[in-house]
This record gives sequence, C-alpha cells and structure tokens, in this order.
Amino acid sequence: MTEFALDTSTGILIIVLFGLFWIGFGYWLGRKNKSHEDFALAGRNVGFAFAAATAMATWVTSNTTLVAPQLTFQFGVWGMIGYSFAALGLILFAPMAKRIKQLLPNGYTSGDFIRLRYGQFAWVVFMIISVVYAFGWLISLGMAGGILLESLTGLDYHIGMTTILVICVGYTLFGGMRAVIATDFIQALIIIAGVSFIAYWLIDNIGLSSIHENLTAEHPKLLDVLFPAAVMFLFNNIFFGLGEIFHSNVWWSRALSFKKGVAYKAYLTGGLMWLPIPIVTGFIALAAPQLGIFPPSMDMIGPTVAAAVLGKAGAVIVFVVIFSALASSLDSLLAATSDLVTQDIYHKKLKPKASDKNLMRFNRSCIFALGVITWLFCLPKIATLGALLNFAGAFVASTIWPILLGLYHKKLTGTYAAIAMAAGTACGMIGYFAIGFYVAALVSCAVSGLICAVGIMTSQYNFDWKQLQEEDAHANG
Amino acid sequence: MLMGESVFEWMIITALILSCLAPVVLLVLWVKDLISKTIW
Repeated sequence: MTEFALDTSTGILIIVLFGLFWIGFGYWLGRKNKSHEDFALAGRNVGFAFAAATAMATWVTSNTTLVAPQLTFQFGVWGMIGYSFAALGLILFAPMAKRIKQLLPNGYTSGDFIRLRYGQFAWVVFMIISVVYAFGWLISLGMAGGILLESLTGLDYHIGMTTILVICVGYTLFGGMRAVIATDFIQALIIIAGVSFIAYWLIDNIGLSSIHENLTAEHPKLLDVLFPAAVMFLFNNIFFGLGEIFHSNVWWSRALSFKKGVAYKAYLTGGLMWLPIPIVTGFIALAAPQLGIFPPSMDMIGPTVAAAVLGKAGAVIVFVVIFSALASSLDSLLAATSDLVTQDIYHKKLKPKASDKNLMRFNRSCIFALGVITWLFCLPKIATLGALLNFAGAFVASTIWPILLGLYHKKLTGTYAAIAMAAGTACGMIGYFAIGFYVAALVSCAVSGLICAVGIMTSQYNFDWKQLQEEDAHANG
Repeated sequence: MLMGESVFEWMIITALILSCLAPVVLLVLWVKDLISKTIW
C-alpha cells in the first residue's frame, strides 16, 4: 500500500471522538465505585450478558485481528483453524471459573490463590511469569495500536501508540472494572459486526470459489492440510491459549467479579462466540494473493486487504474494529495487572493494614504507572507482534498443570509446582530458540506436566481446601 | 493433500454465520438482564 487508506486528519478525528466517548463513559460508570471491591471487581455483581461479552471481547485482541490473518498467510488454513482452537482456553476455563468462585468466594487475584495453595516460593515464580506475560501482552497491544494508526492513516507510530494508551489508561483509571466490562460489551458488538461485514463483502464480491481456485493454482501450501509446521502450530496454540487463560489474573478477576452462578455459563458462551472469529479474520488474509496484496509488514495483511477492497469505508471499519479489539484487551490487562500488584504485593506484603481508600488510590496509581512503563517499552518497535506473542508462550504454558492440579488435586506441593513452572519456562525458551516459536508452549507444557506428575506420584501431602477460605475470610475482615 | 473447495466453503460460511449470531445472542442476553434488573 503506497498510499494510506485514510487521511491523517480523518484518523485523528475518529480517535479523538472515540477517546472522548470511552473516557466519558468510564467516568460515568466510575461514579458508582464506592469501595476498592467496587473498583477492582465491579462489586462482584456482573450479570450474564456483560460477563459473556467481556470474556469474548477480552480474548479478541490485536492478535486475533492482526496476527490471525498473518498466521493464516504463513500457515494457510491451519493458521486460522489453529488460532480458533484458542477458544478451548475459554471453554475449559468455564468449570474452573466456577471452582474458583467456590474456593475463593472473597478472593481477588490468581496470585492470592497460588500463595495460599502453594506458598511463597511458587508465588514468586508465578508472579515473575505473570508480570513477564502481562508486559509482553501490554507491549504487543501498545505496539499494535501504533502500527495500526501508522498503516491506515500515516500517523507517526509514536503518536498513535501514545494516543491509544492514553485513552485506555484514562477510562480504566476513572471507571475500574465496571468501565472495563461495560466497554467490552460495546466493543464486542463492534468487533464481531465489523469482521463479519468485511468477510461477507469479500465472499459477495470476490467469491469463495475464486479464492480457492487462486490458492490451489498459485499458493497450494496455504490449503495443505498436512503442512507439518502448521499442524505443530495448531497444538502449540492450544497450549499457549490454555496457559494464557488459566494463569492470568485477567480471567481470574473476571470470574471473581461475576454474580454467583454466572461464571461457568459466561466463559462457555464467550468461548463459543469467539471460536469462529479467527477463521473469519484469517479468511480475509487468504484473499490477499488474488488481490495482489503483499504488505511490507505481515501483521497488517488483514487490515490492508480490507482497506484495499472496501476503500475508505473499509479502512474506517478496520480502524474502529481493531481499535475496539485493542482497547477491550488493553483495559482488561491494565485493570487485572494493577489488581495483582495492589492486592498481592502492596496489600499482602507491604501494607496489610491499608485502608480501603488507600487500596483504591494505590490501584489507580498502579494503572497509571503500568501505562507509563508500557509506553516506554513500546517506544522502540522491538519485535513483530507474532514473535512477541509467541515468546510469552514459553512462560504461560508452564502454569497450566500447576493451576489445574492446584484447583482440583490435593497432592501437588508448592516446591514441585514452582519447579514445574520454572523448568517448563526454561525448556520452552530453549525450544523457542532451538526449534521455532511454534514449539515453545508445547515444550513448556510437556516439561511442566512431567514434573507435576513426578510430584504427585511421590507426594504424601494432602492440601486442606479450607486453608484458602480461612485466610480469605481473615483478609476481608 | 489440499483442502477441497466444498470443505473450504463450508468452513468459511459456517464461521461467518456463527459470528453473525454472536451479537444477536449478546443483545438478547442484555435485554433479558435489563428486564430482570441483573445487569450489575
């Protein structure tokens, strides 16, 4: 694309209007926050509609809208099918969310659970993984914002990235979890309607047969169902998705903020609604070869196709959809990570007697600080989005077994859980560098699982579930 | 082995139909929550 699909002034106008709306909406919702529990967990009273929408919208990130088309272009049909299998993370988290609500009715974070279930050593390892992952995701989102604005409007990367961060930090700061969830609902509707419209337009105007014909003749690899690296990617992506969701406080804090009886059905519905989206966004990329589109940055394959075929209107739709996808994840991550730091480090370790007002103030400062740190890391464009994302796979996949067994099995001890997470991460990183990004999560999960299995087989330990609730009740007065 | 045209078409069309249904489901759930006053 030699010319930009939107002129810079149109891009700035959209982002200013969007920014004002989201920040104003966040401020309006934030007026209802009377306590830290209101701010961090929306009063633990989120209904089914908002719960299902936030589960789905948070999982539709810049990665779904930018990286899924990129991977489809690299791995063909397995790229999009593999990506859609990440829905399994949400679907399998549904029963876990119910269990989390039962075990920790007054809990705040995933870190809370790890500390109470496994002790200090495992908690430290877990927090390192969580923080690395959270920053990896935050940076990839911030970078995606800058890349998006630059590609579509020609606006300088640094200005675009800064603007998106300011907007998301702004409304999360004012409205807390309530604003995050309510905006997610609207963003979910925008995202699905937008990507569906673009895919429909491509089918209607170019035709599925024509796209298939072109791929068969010119790029048969993209239709190959026995593409070894792509099949490996599929499995890797499943474990990556499971690791991301099972460990991240983004999903735990949501489970804890939902009304009683809502968590299970909300995650299940959110997962089922998310499942077809990577196929729809990936399909957009498959039309690229026929249209003669080969963008300089593979991250932008989806938006470039949409902008090329739909013109200015398409560019506006892409802009709004990806902005919504970015915002719905960025706000969630800011809120969940600041909850983790406020509750697990500030409240539990530094100021156990901090007042509710203090906690709320610290939580807000944390959101602001996270925004600033993310901005600093985003200043240099350090990696492509896909590379940054998959690097985190080595970290998060190592937590799958310790989390799962921690919730359902009494025998795994903290030492084995900590070793499983640390060794899994180390081996996953070796796999990442020695073989390729598409095996990092697989290796990490396998090594961690093996260590957990040894831990259980040799264990005489029997964890008492009541230990989670006793501390929980004590902590909440 | 290449994916056949009919499988390819079915996969894309099914995904598109399912993704079009999602906003409808969300709006129905929202109206239901609104009526029963259980949004928050």
